Amino acid sequence: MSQENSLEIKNLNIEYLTRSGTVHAVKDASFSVAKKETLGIVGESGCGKSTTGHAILKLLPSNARAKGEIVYKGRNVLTMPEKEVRHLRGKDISIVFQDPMTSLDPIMRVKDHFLELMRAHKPNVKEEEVIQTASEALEAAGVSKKRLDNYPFEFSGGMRQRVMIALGIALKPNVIVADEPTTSLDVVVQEQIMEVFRHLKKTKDMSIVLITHDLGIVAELADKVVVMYAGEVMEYADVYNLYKNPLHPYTQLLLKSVPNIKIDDMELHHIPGSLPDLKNLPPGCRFYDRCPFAKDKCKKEEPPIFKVDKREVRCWLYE
Amino acid sequence: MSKTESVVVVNNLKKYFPLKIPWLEALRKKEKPTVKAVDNISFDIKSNEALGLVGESGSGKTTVGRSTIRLIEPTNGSIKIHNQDIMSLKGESLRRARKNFQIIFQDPMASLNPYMSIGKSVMHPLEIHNIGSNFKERKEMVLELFDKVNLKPSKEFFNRFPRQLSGGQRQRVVIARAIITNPKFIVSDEATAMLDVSVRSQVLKLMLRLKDEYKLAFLFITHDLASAKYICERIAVMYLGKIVEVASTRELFEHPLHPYTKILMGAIPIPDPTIKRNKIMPKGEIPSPTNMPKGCRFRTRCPYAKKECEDMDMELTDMGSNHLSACPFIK
Ligand SMILES: Nc1ncnc2c1ncn2[C@@H]1O[C@H](COP(=O)(O)OP(=O)(O)OP(=O)(O)O)[C@@H](O)[C@H]1O
Ligand SMILES: Nc1ncnc2c1ncn2[C@@H]1O[C@H](COP(=O)(O)OP(=O)(O)OP(=O)(O)O)[C@@H](O)[C@H]1O
Ligand code: SF4
Ligand code: SF4
Ligand SMILES: [Mg+2]
Ligand SMILES: [Mg+2]
Repeated sequence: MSQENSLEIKNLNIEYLTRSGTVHAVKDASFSVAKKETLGIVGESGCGKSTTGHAILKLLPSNARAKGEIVYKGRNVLTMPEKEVRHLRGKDISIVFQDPMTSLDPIMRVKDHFLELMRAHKPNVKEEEVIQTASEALEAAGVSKKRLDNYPFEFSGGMRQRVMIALGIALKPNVIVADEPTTSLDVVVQEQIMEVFRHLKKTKDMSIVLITHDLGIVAELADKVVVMYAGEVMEYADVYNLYKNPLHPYTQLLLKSVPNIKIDDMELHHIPGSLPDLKNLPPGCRFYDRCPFAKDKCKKEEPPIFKVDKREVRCWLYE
Repeated sequence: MSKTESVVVVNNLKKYFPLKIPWLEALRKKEKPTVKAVDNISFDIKSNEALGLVGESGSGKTTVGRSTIRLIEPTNGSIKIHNQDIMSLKGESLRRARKNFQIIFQDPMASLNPYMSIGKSVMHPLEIHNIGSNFKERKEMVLELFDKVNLKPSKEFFNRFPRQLSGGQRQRVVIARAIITNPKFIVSDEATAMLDVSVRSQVLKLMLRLKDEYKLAFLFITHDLASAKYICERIAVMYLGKIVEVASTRELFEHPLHPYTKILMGAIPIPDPTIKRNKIMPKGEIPSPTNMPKGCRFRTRCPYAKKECEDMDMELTDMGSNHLSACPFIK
């Protein structure tokens, strides 16, 4: 997996300080995204996907404490002064959020959103340049440039999501972080958005970090996958091997529980139990309670990452 | 299919929402503009049968579900549930009939009272419908049901509050509350949409079991065809207020006929990276329901559209063995 990397995450640890205790949201996460590559981050709700994604742009809330390294162009984003990070955002690394209705300003026209984005990097940018850039980006995201003067409420949910993607790609960033870009959209619109991403992958030199809980979408778009559970990277592998031969018990059960459309497969599977409390974690493997292969050692000692071929898996079975 | 064995029989259901326009303009117009959210649809559901209702956002699924049990007033149509003419019921008699039909929504947190213990929430319908003679008897019924929906130990769960539960557990509380009155008919509106895959499977399993055990008629509204597959005997596909196809689940998955259904099926992401499909996608966006295309409503996006499609009535026709489609051109 060592081609030229756009982004390297090394031993990322993130905690949230709350009144009722410390939430250990991300522990010792390491992975990288190569140039032109799409990396999927999957896992159940609350396992730390968004926290990881937001850390990449240093967009964590004030009660968060992040340690470790997020290396972009040889520098650690986490220790950069805010002023410099602001220069990266949108231009080098951009993010597309889960909910386009709350992340677009309802009283600003689409054009003004682009203007604001571009001004942040070039205070005296000319109107023609904004329109030129915005038109190109909108077109790439499947929105007609005729809609530059529209307000967000004049768009359907799917179209708003495309506008968000257009804003994300407008300044031709090297890395785009997409947090659940299709959740809450129906399958037809979702497929249209996926097509936008496929097109971006083919035509632009962009690395994509795709955060989703939908294993179908990851299978369609990602090259590499990080499987997170309770804040830890449990498995890290290329998409083909991961789906063909999942190593970690959690990955195996997760894949099995996805409803499929094969009409002769009518069996439903689920993973009994639930995520451990991130404020009060057990000493051993975080998946211990729910793992069908758990052994004594798993309860007492937390497994480290083991390398299997070119893959990584955090489980004592691969010791 | 004889209608007598059906628990739910809906005919020519319509729901038009009035469109808000400036009053001056409203005065000038003879015909008030409306959103034809549900436009003349019919279906029936037997006991221990689940009918899936699928279709993209805005196609009218929720409106069908709510109109059928008169949570909103249908503009027109006839509705029979358990041999009772629902449209003719008023006030107290409608309220009493409600124990026979219940609805489960997408967001369990929004449908539970945060200040009421879940035990009391589930007991509430028993009080409303005068089922059970005293608190003790009702509590027994709730505890028994908690065991069935796997909220165990039931005595401990009885006193918990919604915020002390996981999403999947909350949805099981909502399901328990819906079936405690022993209804004949359940509408489930995207009840599993907000749940994680694994939890979703678990709740689907529970619904399947309860459907069998209580011989329920289910209207299973979802935009997730994969989930519908596990629950539904038959599936109806909606587009812009119309049902465009109805068939047994197997038929629909193996031989989808209507171009819209084909597109819908093709758009489902498959969790297998080795499968690369050539997807046919519809052109453009779903038209505004206030400005519906004449003739076949799918015409503006259909890859097979031709001149004749401009004047046809989208009548469902049996294409063989109870497989109904509203497109006469694709057989
Ligand atoms: N601002 C915060 N303060 C305290 N805890 C937080 C905060 N934000 C998130 N958390 C907690 O951190 C953990 C990880 O949350 P995160 O949002 O990263 O999960 P996720 O994998 O993105 O989940 P989802 O699929 O639901 O979006 C959760 O337990 C969450 O409750
Ligand atoms: N109270 C209302 N007033 C006016 N229009 C409404 C009202 N409720 C729904 N509509 C419109 O009726 C149409 C059908 O909406 P409905 O909510 O039934 O669709 P749906 O298939 O359930 O969509 P989704 O998958 O997004 O839940 C939409 O165009 C919607 O905007
Ligand atoms: S370390 Fe043990 S408990 Fe954890 S996933 Fe592996 S086998 Fe299961
Ligand atoms: S009637 Fe015409 S437009 Fe409608 S689905 Fe059939 S071919 Fe397409
Ligand atoms: Mg998230
Ligand atoms: Mg709905």
